[in-house]
Amino acid sequence: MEIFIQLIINGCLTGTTYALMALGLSIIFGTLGLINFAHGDFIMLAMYGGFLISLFSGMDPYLGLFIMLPISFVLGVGLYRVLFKRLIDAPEEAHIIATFGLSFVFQYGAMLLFSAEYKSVSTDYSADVFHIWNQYIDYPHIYGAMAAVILIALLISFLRYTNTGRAIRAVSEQRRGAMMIGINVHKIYAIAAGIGLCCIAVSGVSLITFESVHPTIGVHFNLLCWIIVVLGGIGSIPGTIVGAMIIAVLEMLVGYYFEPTLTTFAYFIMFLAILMIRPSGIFGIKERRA
Amino acid sequence: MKRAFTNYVVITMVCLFILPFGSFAMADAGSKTVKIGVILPLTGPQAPIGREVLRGIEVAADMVNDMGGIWNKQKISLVTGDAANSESARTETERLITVEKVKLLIGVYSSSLAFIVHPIADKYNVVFWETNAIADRLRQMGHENTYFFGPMASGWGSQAADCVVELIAPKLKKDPKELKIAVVYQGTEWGKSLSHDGFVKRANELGLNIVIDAPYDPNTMDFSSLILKIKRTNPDIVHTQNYLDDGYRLFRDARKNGLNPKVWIADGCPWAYVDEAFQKFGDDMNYVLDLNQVAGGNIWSLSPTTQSQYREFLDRYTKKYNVKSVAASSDVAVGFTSAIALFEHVLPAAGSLDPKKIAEVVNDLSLPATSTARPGGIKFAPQSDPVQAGQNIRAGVVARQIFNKKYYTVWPKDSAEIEAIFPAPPFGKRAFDDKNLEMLIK
Amino acid sequence: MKITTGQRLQSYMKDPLVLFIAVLGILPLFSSHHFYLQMLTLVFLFAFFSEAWNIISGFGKQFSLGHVAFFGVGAYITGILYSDYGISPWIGLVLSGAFGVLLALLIGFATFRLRAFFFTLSTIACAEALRVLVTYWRLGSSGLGTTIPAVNGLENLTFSHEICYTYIAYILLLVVVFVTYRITKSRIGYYLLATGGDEEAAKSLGVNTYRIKLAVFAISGFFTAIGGGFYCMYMRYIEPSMVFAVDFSVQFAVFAIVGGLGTIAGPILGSVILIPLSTFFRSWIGGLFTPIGFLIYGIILVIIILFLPGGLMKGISIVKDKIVQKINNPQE
Repeated sequence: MEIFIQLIINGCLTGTTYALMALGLSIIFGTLGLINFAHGDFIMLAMYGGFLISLFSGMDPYLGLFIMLPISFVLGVGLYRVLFKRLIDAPEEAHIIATFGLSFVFQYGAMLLFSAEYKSVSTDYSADVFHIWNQYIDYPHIYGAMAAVILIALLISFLRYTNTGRAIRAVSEQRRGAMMIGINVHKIYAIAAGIGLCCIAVSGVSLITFESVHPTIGVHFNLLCWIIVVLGGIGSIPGTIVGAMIIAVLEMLVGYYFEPTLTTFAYFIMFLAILMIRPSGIFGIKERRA
Repeated sequence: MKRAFTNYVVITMVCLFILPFGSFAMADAGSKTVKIGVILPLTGPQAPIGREVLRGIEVAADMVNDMGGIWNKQKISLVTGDAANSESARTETERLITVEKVKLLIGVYSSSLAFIVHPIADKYNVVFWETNAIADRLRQMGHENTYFFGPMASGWGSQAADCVVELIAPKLKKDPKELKIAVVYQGTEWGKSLSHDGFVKRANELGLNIVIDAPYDPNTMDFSSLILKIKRTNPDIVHTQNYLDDGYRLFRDARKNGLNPKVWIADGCPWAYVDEAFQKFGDDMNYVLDLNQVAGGNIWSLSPTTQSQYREFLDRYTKKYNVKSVAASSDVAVGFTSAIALFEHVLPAAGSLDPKKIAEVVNDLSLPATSTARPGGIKFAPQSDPVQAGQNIRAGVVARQIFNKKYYTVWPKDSAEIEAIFPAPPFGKRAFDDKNLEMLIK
Repeated sequence: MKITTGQRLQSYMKDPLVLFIAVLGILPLFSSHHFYLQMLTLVFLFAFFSEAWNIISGFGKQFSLGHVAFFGVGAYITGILYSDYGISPWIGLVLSGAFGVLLALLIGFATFRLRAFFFTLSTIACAEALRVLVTYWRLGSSGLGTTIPAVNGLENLTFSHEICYTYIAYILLLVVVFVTYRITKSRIGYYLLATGGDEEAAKSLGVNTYRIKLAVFAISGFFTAIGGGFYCMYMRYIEPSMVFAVDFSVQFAVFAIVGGLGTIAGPILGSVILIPLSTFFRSWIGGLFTPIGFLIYGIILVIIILFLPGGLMKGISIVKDKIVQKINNPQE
């Protein structure tokens, strides 16, 4: 029983990390309808961002967010203007190939800039473990979970209580309708892309406190985030969180009680099974067409 | 009109097709350089390590060139091929051999890629100098001109098992058969052939007690479940074999879940980047036993010339690539030691890149452990050997214990620098005072 | 009106595509260099895969990125049967095809209810699940990787000269092009196009879209699996992470989309241009700066997609229209 609780705790903590990673994708895909296959590489770049800031200023990576968030927002808006804007009306396959090309650019660009060595950040709490009732929880994960909770709370309240947030929801639900009532769709899209990149920045920073970064780390994140977002239901933030938790806890349980080599197999099968029962994901709205 | 258009389209397409073909520059033969092909993964997921090996080889070539080159002052020029995946491994090898006309190839680091690259080199009768592909089966494929400078999986694995019996058990003051050993490795060709087919097999022969034999998916983000599974068996020794990513995660999760084995054996490369590891784990890195094919820490036991050569390599490496770390990672050293052995001991004696002459030289080669920074020495098995054809039979591994960002060779006995210290204290209490070390230095 | 074989042949001859493919077929005879032959083999092989992928994903608009599942299953069936049981790879190829069909029906059954991107992602999930499963199975057996013994001979599908592989790949390409052509001209093809265009509308016209998609997916899976078997015999070494890499599916898609999705010539054009291009970029700079080539390759991909959304075939047809216009009205 003790071990079971430990597994669940570990699963939930990993789950919040996953949720944090998938949030940016959930927003960009949910609002813009953009299929971003370079998402993992965006996270990789954000991790490098966190690394660079703490390298040059010696700050805690989380404090570095004050610098990174504005930059990410501007980058998101810029990226939308330059690239995403042209893509969102193109067919899906164009999204996939273009973002795939983008991921090449990011990966190999990072390889040239940072070489291929592994980089990481050490913080005062890197080694600290919270020990209670025979359960072990490490601080980097606790802080990551706290960051996730704060970010999610901010996001949900932003989407619910501000005019821009409401406009984002309106656009993501019905683009044409939103246009008709006078919402500047392109502006909203640009803001959503900026917010998406901010989420990615937060996840990158929280990851760098307990992971090492190297140029090809994003390849594996990419599929994971996609599975989570689709499992939870597109455009639904609670869905993304639930999806992340399911996958992380399942990985833990399968890894312990069954086979460590089959953890990914378990969640792929779980994903397929859930989609067979609920074709739009757990929290997905049925039959919505872009 | 229609016909004219059709012709136009066909011509355009053919032109488009031919264009990239024509732009592969043909090699100019007869210049005063010796062309040597280097085939390594330089892009894609294996690039981090492939690039490190390449750096080592580049430094070795620079050193030889600055000393005046080989054979009547000819300089070595390296031509690289990028073996990122199976097709590119095949086409790039073919390109190096047929377009660039190289007569000798160094590479390819990964066993999986070696299975594809070696047959092609063999087809053209090109000498292949393998730096570190370890899979045993590679030695049994009947490629006459392929030489393996690094150790083979079964040899490496069984040496690791011997290390448990010879070094660790006496230190823990226990009968080796009483020790509980957990074996964890990534579920890849590399992991399986070393840990499962090498270490576990030998351990069973020696009658050691393997409590868990667990391959894992290297993409796992959090290893807590595996660690808890290992923790339940309460092992004295954890033998891990992994790359950087999974290695760091495994160690991180062991620490976080309070798995405190008396000995943590790291077989493979993560702890080779010792600065990065200390950056991540701080003092908790102390006492880790790093089993590897490169002895950075045993410089003092080498012959004076090899010693100064290795120092020069470290110096040049840090300068050339602007690396801050003092110790080169094991992959750079693997690239360097393999290449320098070839440039120094084989090529000058052979006088040309002719496979027959190289084979003669390699067969007669017999160098003691003091003549290379790779542990063991150099002596190749004949190509007629059914099990280890072309294998450097003296290639071995050394065990180094890590204390405060430094490696100290502890095994095998004749090249040991200090006495190993086991059991390791639990995580969090692993700070180590360098003064204690001075007493241990032999 | 009945069309005779002669007339049909004549109409084929006029098609620039046929000329193009014929030119490609002659090329190997002129490239004495093994390296170029090998590149041609890869060009044909990937054109073949891309074409097979294009049947379901281009014409049927069912965007699958899980085709590597068929590829890997084909490679494994052929490879294991030959290396472990000594069964001729020709039989292996046939069995691969059969298993490809079975797998396609299974995956199709599970995923065709899903819409658009959900379908794409679940095909990836299927392929990845298979990769993990095969890894698990191979870890428990003698060795993770499987080497194919090299015994030259037609019955072993192993040759000493590269040109044999090149022409086998070429024949595979011819077969898949022919089948695609016949499908597009058949009733199934029209139904498929209708399904790809607007599934609801096709359904309301009484097309059993589910069955059409399943049938075409099976054809596509059949060819991909056979190609996987051939790839295994060509590389002579397979490993789960190698033959089940999602990168393969993405490559099939990239070639078809860059060439022109939903056209017969598109996938061929795409691989004819992109494979030599990426090979060139791989060896362009060399050394530690090899990634620069791929950085540029990535930028080229993005630019093609942004400025030529219909792929190169679209570009060609634009050029063609302009020329025709100029010839018809030289004054303008």
